[in-house]
Amino acid sequence: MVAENNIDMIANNLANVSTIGFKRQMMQIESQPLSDVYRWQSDPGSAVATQGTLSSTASQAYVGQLGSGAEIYDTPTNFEQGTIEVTGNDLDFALYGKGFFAVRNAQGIRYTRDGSFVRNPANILTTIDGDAVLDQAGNLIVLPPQGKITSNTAGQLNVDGVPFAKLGVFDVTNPRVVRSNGSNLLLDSGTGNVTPDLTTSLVQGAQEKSNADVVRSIVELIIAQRWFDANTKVIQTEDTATGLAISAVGNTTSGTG
Amino acid sequence: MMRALYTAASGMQAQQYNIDTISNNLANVNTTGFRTNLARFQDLIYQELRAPGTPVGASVVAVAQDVGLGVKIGSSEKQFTQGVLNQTSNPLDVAIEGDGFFQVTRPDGTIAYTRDGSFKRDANGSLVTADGFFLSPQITLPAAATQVSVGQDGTVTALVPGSVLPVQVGKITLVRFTNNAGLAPQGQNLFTETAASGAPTVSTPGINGAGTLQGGYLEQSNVSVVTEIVNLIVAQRAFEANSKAVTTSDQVLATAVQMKAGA
Repeated sequence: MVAENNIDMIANNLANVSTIGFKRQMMQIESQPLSDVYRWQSDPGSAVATQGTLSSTASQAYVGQLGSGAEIYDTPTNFEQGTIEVTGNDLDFALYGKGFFAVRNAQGIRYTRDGSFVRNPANILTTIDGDAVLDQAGNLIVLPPQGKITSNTAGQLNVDGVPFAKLGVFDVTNPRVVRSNGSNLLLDSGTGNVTPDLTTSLVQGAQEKSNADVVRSIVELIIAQRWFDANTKVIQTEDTATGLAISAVGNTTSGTG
Repeated sequence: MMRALYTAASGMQAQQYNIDTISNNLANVNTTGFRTNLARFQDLIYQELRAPGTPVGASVVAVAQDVGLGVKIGSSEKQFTQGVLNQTSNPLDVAIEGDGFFQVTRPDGTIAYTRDGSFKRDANGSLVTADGFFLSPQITLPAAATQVSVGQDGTVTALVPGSVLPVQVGKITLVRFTNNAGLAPQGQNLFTETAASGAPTVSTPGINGAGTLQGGYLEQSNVSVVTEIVNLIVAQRAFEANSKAVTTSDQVLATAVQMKAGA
């Protein structure tokens, strides 16, 4: 089951190798709870042969631990920087560093690494889905109707050299609680987890490519498939052994008696 | 059935769409005023395997376990970057240097917009596109007009009999949109207005952010062959990789089924 989920996850990484700002998922696996195994040495009340007395308590020898399988521990997102590709589009912004853009849609504030923005008919800077891009204070960004828009690496937007707004870039203090929300958006499920970012630099006229890479994913896929295969072998072997045990019951010729 | 099959299929569909887009760009590498398309993708929704906050003994699960379900097409945005101007020496070839579109009237009376300024003179002397659509506002050159030229501000001048100096015979205006990427491509190098593009603003070339005009030049397509070929290679490899995920899922299912047969 875990191997199958792993293949599903790798397939999703592969499906998103061309998705702007996509961050690949990883899978961490843990063992299911172990159970201690003891060997009965004597039952309470049984005769202890050597001394001719009865034991009052059970005596057990510790054998070891028996695992009961694997389960998914976590499916964290890998926030490694993606490569930056130049598009030449003035409203495309790539982030270099750990920050996120903030956008507001009908559900609330979401975070994204996809900085391929557009100007809507009301001159508001939005994502391609029409979600408004926010500045550092959480307000909408209204673009001047004309003029060349330039940005410095801190996200300060200028039109013909005159500053008019600053793109909001935020840090998430615990990226583990950030969850993919689809449509290149991330949802912060923590509270008080987001702070203004000061270290991330912005590249105008560029987009960040997906950090899912084909070679790694294919290798992971091969491993996951072999892992699945190996587990089916265990089931088959166990099944054969059980089958043998069943068929051997009552078979006097092969029993040791 | 395994999610991976459908996830990988969505990846293959996305790359197919990517290759379709790239092919169209490459096919239009010599189309006057063509604007390259850039396919953009978004991740699909995520299926929760275990929600954050699920109680585990005395504690709760701090982080979610989820698996994504693939990719979808985000947009195929037209890139309105400037194309290279190519000298043609035909005075009625007009290139826009900067933002803006020519307006043309289609046979059904509706207005469409284009960056293709390869105008011709029809039988009556009116300026028309290669398809015979009138430039709007309509400009008609006098029958005997010679030495026609188009100024940077759109003024069309010509030498007419009985005059020593060229006289103004019309003025080409440009329209601008708030969001060029929101225009709907109609084929024949034409675009139409949509709710996303905003309403057109008519302006004189060179004023209020509109580009200037260059008579005797045509604007080439802004498709970069090298970029498209690189994108094509990447798209093909991504397609192959996704097909591998399909094959793997298939083999895994086969293995699971054979477990029963082999026992």
